[in-house]
Amino acid sequence: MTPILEIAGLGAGYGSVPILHGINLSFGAGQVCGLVGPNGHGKTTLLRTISGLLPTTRGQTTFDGESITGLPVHEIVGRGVIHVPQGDMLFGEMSVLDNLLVAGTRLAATSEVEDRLAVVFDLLPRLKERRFQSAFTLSGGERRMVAIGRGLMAGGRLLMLDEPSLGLAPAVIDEIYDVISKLSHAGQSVLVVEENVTRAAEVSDVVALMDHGQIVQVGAPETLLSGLSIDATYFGG
Amino acid sequence: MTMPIDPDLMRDPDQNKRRDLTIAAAAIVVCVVLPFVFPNRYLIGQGVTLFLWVAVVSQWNLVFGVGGIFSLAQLAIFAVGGYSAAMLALYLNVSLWFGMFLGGLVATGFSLIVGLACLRLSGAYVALLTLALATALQVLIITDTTCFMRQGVTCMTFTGGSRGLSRFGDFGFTAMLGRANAPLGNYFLAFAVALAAMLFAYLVIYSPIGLAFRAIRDNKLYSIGRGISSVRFQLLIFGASAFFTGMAGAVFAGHYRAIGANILDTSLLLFLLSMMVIGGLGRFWGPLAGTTALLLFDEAMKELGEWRLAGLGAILLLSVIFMPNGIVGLFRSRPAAR
Amino acid sequence: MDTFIQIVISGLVLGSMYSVSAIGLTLLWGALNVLNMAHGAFLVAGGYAAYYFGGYLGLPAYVAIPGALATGVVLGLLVYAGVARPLRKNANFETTVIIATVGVALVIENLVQKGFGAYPLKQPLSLQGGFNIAQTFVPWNSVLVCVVSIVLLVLLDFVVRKTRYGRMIRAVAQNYEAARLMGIRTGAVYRFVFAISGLMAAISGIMLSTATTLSPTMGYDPMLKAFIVCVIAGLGEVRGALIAAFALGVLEATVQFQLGVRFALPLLLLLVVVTLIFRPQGLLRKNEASRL
Ligand SMILES: Nc1ncnc2c1ncn2[C@@H]1O[C@H](COP(=O)(O)OP(=O)(O)O)[C@@H](O)[C@H]1O
Ligand SMILES: [Mg+2]
Repeated sequence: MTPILEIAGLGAGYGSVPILHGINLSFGAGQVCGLVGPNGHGKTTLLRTISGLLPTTRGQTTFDGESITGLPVHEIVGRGVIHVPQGDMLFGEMSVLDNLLVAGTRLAATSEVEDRLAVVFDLLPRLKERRFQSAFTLSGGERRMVAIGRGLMAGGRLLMLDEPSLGLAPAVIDEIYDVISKLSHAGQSVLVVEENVTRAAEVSDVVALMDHGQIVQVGAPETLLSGLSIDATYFGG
Repeated sequence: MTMPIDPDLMRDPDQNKRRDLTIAAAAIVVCVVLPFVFPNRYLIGQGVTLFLWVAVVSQWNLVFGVGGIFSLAQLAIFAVGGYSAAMLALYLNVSLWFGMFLGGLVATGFSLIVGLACLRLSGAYVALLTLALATALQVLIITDTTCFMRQGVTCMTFTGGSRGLSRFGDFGFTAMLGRANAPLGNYFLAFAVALAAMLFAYLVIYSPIGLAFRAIRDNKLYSIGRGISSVRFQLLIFGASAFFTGMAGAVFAGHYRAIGANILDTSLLLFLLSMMVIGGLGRFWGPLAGTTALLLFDEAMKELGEWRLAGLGAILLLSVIFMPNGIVGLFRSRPAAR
Repeated sequence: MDTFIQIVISGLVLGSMYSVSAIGLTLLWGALNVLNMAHGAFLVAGGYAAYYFGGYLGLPAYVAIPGALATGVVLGLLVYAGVARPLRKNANFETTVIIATVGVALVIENLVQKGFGAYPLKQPLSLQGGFNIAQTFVPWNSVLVCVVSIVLLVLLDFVVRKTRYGRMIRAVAQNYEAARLMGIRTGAVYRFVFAISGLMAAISGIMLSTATTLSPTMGYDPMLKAFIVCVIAGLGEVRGALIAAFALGVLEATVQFQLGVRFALPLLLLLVVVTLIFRPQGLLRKNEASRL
C-alpha cells in the first residue's frame, strides 16, 4: 500500500531561523496519524510547510505517490491536502453557509457543491441549524465544527487538523473527537495535531512524537503511551 | 532565568560616529565656503530652499521614518509656524527673530493636537486624517474674505486669504550686512536652522528614545508587551518634530517677505514626501540626501519642465519598489537592522 | 420649494458621482488594504479615453465608452501587476503602496497633460437637453448619471454579497491565510478587484466629464470626496459607501445653498476628522473588525 503522506528529511523555518530539522513521517491511506508534542516544538510549522504556506528548505513531501514539494498552496489544496488551521480562522463576518461555500469554490458543478454540503450537514447537523448565523456569533465548539466542515467541503483526501481540542471544554472535545472517529470509520485519512497525548491516542492508528523540530518516535499508540520518551519530552527529564 | 542583554542589541548597527562626523564636517565646510566661492544670488537662494526643506524633511522623517506614523501634516505645521511669525510681526509688531521661536512653539502646540487626533489611528487612517486637516486649513485660508483690518482703501483679511500675507518685514539683514550681502544673512540663518534640526534628529534617532520609537514602529505588540507606551511616545514625537519645522516656516516667511496658502499645495507636499522616501526613510542622512537629489533633479528638469511631474512620479514609484531603503540604503555595507 | 428641489437634485447628482468613485476605492481597501492614490488619475484617464475614442477618433458611443472602460480596467491591472504585487511582501505594505500609487498618479496626470493639453476640453459623449421640475431645469445627462450609478452599485453589491466571486473577495478580505488554505487563488481575486476598481473609476470619470469638462487635474476633487465618503461610511464598506455618498451629496448641496460654497469642503473635512477621531471604523459599520 502506498502511503497517503510521506515526508522525508523535511526542513523549514521562519526567515533565517530553522524550526524543522529533517522531519520523517509516513502513514497509510485511511489511517489517522496523531502528531503529539509539547507547545512550540514545530507541529504547526510542519502543517504549514506541508500545505505550502511556508517554503520547504530541504527534503520532500509526497502525497499519494506524487511530490507536492514547492507547489503553490491552491494546487496542494486542489490535490486534496486540506489544512484546518489552529484557532479555526473562520471568515467571521460570513454566515456558516458562506464559510462552507467558500471552501467549495473550486468545485465546478452546483450539484457537486450540494452533494458535499449534504455530507457535511449529515456529519455535523448543528451546522445545518446554524447555517444562516454569522460565524463570529457561534460558540467555540460550533466554530471548530465549521472549521472542520470547511475542510471537508474543500474536498480533503487528507485532512490535517491542528489542535482540534484547543480551548474547548472536555464535553465539547468529546463531541469533536466523535466526529474525528466517524471520519476515520468512513475511511478518511487524517493527520491530527494534539498536545493531549491520550486524546490523540484514542483515535490514532499511528502516533508520532515531535520534539525540537524532529520526529523522535513513531509507533502504535499503546507502545508509545507506555514508553518513557513522552515523559522525557514533557517533563524535561 | 534572565537572559544577559546582548550588547549588540543596545548598539545601533546603523550608527557609525566616525563616518557621520566626517560627512557632517565635509558638508558644513562646503555649505559655509560655497556662497563665498560662488557669490551668485540664484545659488544662494537655492541654498536657502535646500536648508529649509532639509529642516522640514529631517523632522518629518522623525515622525514617519522613525516613528512609523504616516502623517501628512508636516507642511501644515510648517505653515502654522510661518503664518504665526508673520501675523505676530504684522499685527503685534513682534520682531521676526523672536517670532521665529514663537512660531516654533505655536507649531509644536498645533502638532500636539494633530498627534492627539491621530492617537487611535494607524497607517492609512493617519494619512487620511492629516491630509484632511491640511486641506481644510488651506481651503479655509484661501476662501477667507472677512474684513479684519483696513489698509488704506483695501481690506485685509486676518489670514491674508488667497493673496497671502506680506509687508511684515524680514530679518533685517539689509540693515545689518548691507544690501549686497543681505541674501547671505538669510542663507546662514536657514543653514543654522537646518543644522539645528539635523542635530536634533541625530540625537533623537540614536537616543534610547529613538530606539524605543523604532521598536514601536517595527513591532507594536512587542513594545506594548515591554511596557513602552506608544501613546506617550507618539505625542512626544509629534511635539518634538514640530519646533524646528515651525521655525523653518518663519525663516521661509522672512526670506520671501511673504507667505501664502500655496505652501499647503499637495504638489509641494508630494515633493517633500518624495525627498524623504528617496533619501531613505528613518535614516539619519536620508533627508539631506533626498532633498539634495530632488533639488538637483528639479534643476535638471528645468529644460524638460513639462515632464517634471512624470519624472518625479517615476522616481517615487521606482524607488519604493527597487530601493526601499533609499539613496542612503545603497551605501550601507551591512543588511538593514530589522 | 424651489431651493429645496434644487438641493435635492444637485445632491443626488453629486451623490451618484461620489458613490461610483468611492466604491472603487473602498473595495480595494476592503479586500487588499490598498489605498489607491492613483484613483483620481484613473478617473482622468477614463474621461480622456472616452474623449479620445469618441471625440478625437470620432467613434460612435457604443465603441467609445467600452473603450474607455477597458482603459480603466487595464490601468487597474497594471497597477496590480506593477505596484501592489511586488510590494505585497513588504512589511509596510499599507504605506508604501500609498506612496507608490502617488507616483503612478503623477505619471498619468503628466501623460494626459502632454497628450491632450492642460486646457479644459468638452466631453462629446454627453446627453443634451433636459426638462423642468417646478422652475428647476434638470438635464437629461444628470438623470442618466444618477440611474447608471444606482444600477451599477446595486449590481456590485449583489456581486459582492451573493456570487461566488464576491464570496471569494470577502473571504480574502476577512482572513487572507484561511482563504489560501481553502484553495482560493488570491492573486486572481486581487486582479479581479483591481480590474473592478479601475472600471468604476473609468465610469465615474466619464460621468464626471459629461457633467463638467475634462481637465488633467479633474480627478483630484472627486478622489478627495471619495475618501471622505469612504471614511465616513467606514473604509471597506460597500453598501455604507453608497448611503454615505448620497447623504454627503445632499449635505454638500445644502451647505452650498444655505451657507455658501466656501464652507462645503471644510465642513466635510471636519466631519472626516471628527469621524476618524471618535469612530475610526466609520459611522455605518457595526463593529470595528468587520470587513466587506
Ligand atoms: N510566524 C512566526 N515567525 C517566527 N517564528 C515563529 C512563527 N510562528 C512560530 N514560530 C516559532 O516556531 C517554533 C514552533 O512553533 P509552532 O510550529 O507554532 O509550534 P507548535 O505548533 O508545536 O506549538 C516556536 O519556537 C515559535 O516561536
Ligand atoms: Mg501549534
